[in-house]
Amino acid sequence: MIRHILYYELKKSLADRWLWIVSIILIATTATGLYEGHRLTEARLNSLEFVRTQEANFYASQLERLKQKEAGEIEIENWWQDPANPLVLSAFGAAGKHVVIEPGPFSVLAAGQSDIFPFYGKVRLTASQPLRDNAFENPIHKLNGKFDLAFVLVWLLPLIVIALGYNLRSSERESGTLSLLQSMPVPVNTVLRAKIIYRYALISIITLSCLFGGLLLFGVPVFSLSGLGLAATVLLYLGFWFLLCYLINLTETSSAVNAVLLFGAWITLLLIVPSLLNTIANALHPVPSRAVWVTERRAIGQEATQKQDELVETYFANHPQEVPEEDIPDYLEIWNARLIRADYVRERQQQAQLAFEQPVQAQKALVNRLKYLSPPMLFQSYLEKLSGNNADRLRNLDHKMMAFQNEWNDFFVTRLQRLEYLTPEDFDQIPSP
Amino acid sequence: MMQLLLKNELRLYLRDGVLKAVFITMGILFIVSVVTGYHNFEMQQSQHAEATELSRLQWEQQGDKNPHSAAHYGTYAFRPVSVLTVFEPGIQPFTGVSLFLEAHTQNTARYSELEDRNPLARFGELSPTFIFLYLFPLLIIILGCRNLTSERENGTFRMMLAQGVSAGRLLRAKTAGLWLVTALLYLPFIVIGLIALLFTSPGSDTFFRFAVFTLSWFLYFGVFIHLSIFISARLRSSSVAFLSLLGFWMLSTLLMPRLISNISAEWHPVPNAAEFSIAIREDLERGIDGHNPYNVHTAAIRDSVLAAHGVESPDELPFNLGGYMLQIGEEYEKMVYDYHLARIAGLHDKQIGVYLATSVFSPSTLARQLSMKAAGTDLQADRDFYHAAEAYRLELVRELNEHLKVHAVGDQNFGFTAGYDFYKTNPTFQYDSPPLHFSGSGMASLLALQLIWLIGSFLPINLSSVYRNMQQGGTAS
Repeated sequence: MIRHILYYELKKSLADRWLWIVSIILIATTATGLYEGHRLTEARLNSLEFVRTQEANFYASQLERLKQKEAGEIEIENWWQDPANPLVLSAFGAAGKHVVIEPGPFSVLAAGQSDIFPFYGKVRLTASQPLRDNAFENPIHKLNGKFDLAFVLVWLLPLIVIALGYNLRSSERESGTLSLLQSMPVPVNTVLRAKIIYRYALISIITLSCLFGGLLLFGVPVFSLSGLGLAATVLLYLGFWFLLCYLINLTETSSAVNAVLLFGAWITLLLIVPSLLNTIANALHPVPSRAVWVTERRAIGQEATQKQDELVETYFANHPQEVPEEDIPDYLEIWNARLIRADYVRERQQQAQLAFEQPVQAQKALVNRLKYLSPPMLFQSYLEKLSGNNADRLRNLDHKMMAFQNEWNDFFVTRLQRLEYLTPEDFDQIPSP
Repeated sequence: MMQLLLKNELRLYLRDGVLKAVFITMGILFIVSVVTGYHNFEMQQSQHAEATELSRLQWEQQGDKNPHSAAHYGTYAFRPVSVLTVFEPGIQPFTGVSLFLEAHTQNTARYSELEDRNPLARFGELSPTFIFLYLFPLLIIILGCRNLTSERENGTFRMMLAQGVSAGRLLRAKTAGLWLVTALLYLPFIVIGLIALLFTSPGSDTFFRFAVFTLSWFLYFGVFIHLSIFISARLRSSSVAFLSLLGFWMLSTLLMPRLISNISAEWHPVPNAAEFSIAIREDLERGIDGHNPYNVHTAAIRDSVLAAHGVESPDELPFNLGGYMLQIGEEYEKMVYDYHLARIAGLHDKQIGVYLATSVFSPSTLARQLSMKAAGTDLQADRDFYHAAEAYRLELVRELNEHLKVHAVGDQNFGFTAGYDFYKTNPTFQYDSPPLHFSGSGMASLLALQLIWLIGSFLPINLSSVYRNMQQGGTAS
């Protein structure tokens, strides 16, 4: 019997306009979303390519100069121009290496937080910092958000479900065919269920083909565990909204009331609940302004400057200088002090950062629990994570930079303090993140 | 007759259970948003005041050092917090709160609030603007969509016609009724807002801004009032009318703003940070470098200064050449930065131009821009702060270079330092956001566009085809 109903539904929908309208809407919005995701990912890849080229050019040109110097082809006048000097290769000018968070394979799926967090940073001996491509992005764009695939899936898809499923039973009643249906040997509920299942299957097929077709087109590895997870989550999300439609259809209300109720659920779950949860989370765990933190960091810097002599003395008591005092050039003395101070500041600032981040983490943990109250929030969070543009992954840049900083300093600082100049062979040993 | 119709309209609205429920929910959300927003505002304000004070102390007590080292040490400017952010946070959560001011460089503001918020904060932030932008139009749609369709569906329209009510008069009464009830519903929100404002003893400009803010949203509501009446007069079924209006709401509030962001970013791309800094570095290398005596341009200026004073060596000059050169370098650097930053500001303006050009599709983007402008949380306000801080930076650095130039002369030159006595006399950064002006701020054109929307949406209600459609619908039912 179910088969019969499904067959008639299929015949009906092929003759009807809605199937085509829904397909066109889904194709158009998916294409728009994909294109935006692609544009953003490309822009990031271009940035990374650009800085990597700059970085490679710098080290190649220094190596070239070093070879020329060794061959006696050029003469070096000042220490800061010497391509063999560890400081020249690690501390200033174009020196330093970029630590990056590459766009993930599913990056086109969601812009996520990629317009807020930096995705690459330069590590140097002292002045390491993340670079902010997004600093120049129009804040109004950030405010409005992006029309990406995640937006299509999380926000628009439920509306299509609602439009297709809000009046399955009420329309029968309103057009007078309900009593006809009731007189049939099949229970009305079975028909209703079949109709819902038919629509669920149809929308799932259209959505997944648009989505995966588009992703394949942009070279996303969809035939993977992540791809399977994405398909399953989309099906679950669609299922949630169809279930809601089914439940509303069980009531004896009119089509108009059904539409209002379902749309009300959409508004509640997508707009009201998230913003309310957000507000509650922020009220319970208010994040202090970075203004205070900035001055705290500065106080640490100031303290380090005041304690500089003491710090240097302690350092060299533990790390006796291997170069005789009289051979130490002025610049090295200055840089030694600077590096020791920077080490101290880094360590203290890390502690301050941890203290500052406590409410940040608390707020995040709370919302992580609360997001289960709203399937759209859950879905969005899943999509962001899958895209690799989620806050957690991007925030990790700090840690990656910190780890590489140690590696970088280990390589250069010891050489610098021993006044060990680099040879062309050493260039291969320069650490890369 | 009109009075009677209007009275009837209002009575119908007041007896509507759905309206009461939706209104109470919105009222609660509004109160929650104002209370939490106000709490945030107070916290931020006190923290920024504390940070500003601390930062100044750090400047004054930075110890004895060369004034130019002090210029490198730099100081911070913190973005001021206005009570109006409670109502309209605008772009502020997305822009940095602290701006580092130092010699040679114009930094961008760092550390936006959003970086430290939970990852789902961008789903939406409860604020009065959020309620006015998304929820209030929905309330109007729910009220308005079945306004006329229901009269036809219930057959009451025929009765009215029989009693001598013309379609035109009914339509006018319905429109006036919806305006009136919207105004009545909006009033408590304004009153609560005003009460919250009064807690901060605001200046007259704040009140004026608040008035423009409330007015701009009221104009926005008007568009939805007119469209609801028009659609419900034009279409026969309440649910079709409701769905059409929802479609428009979706397009205006959710789809268009995002779509326009995509388009304007695609049409007017901004450079990335690395490209930007390299472009600046290249231009800086072409000019004067106050630090580097080997720089060709620096050497040329030095020689010309020496020649003008008829001396052989910088030590014989009546002033410190270093301080002089640093200031010239600073002015050149400023020129380079100004040029490149203006390029980016120009791109942003073009992007905003795309928003204005496409506002025919979305009264929401217009209303949002108006409201941000009124609250002083738009891009222009951000720029104004930035320019004030930059002017301060330039003045501070100039004073430091001047001190070096005047005092580090002769035997004072070597190892010259300045201390607390000098640093405490340096200017402090004080910023008051400028009062709201209609001219030159783009405010007038935004208002004009919003009025065009309002009047443009009113015109179709008066089309004769609408009356005819109503008459036919009326007699058919």
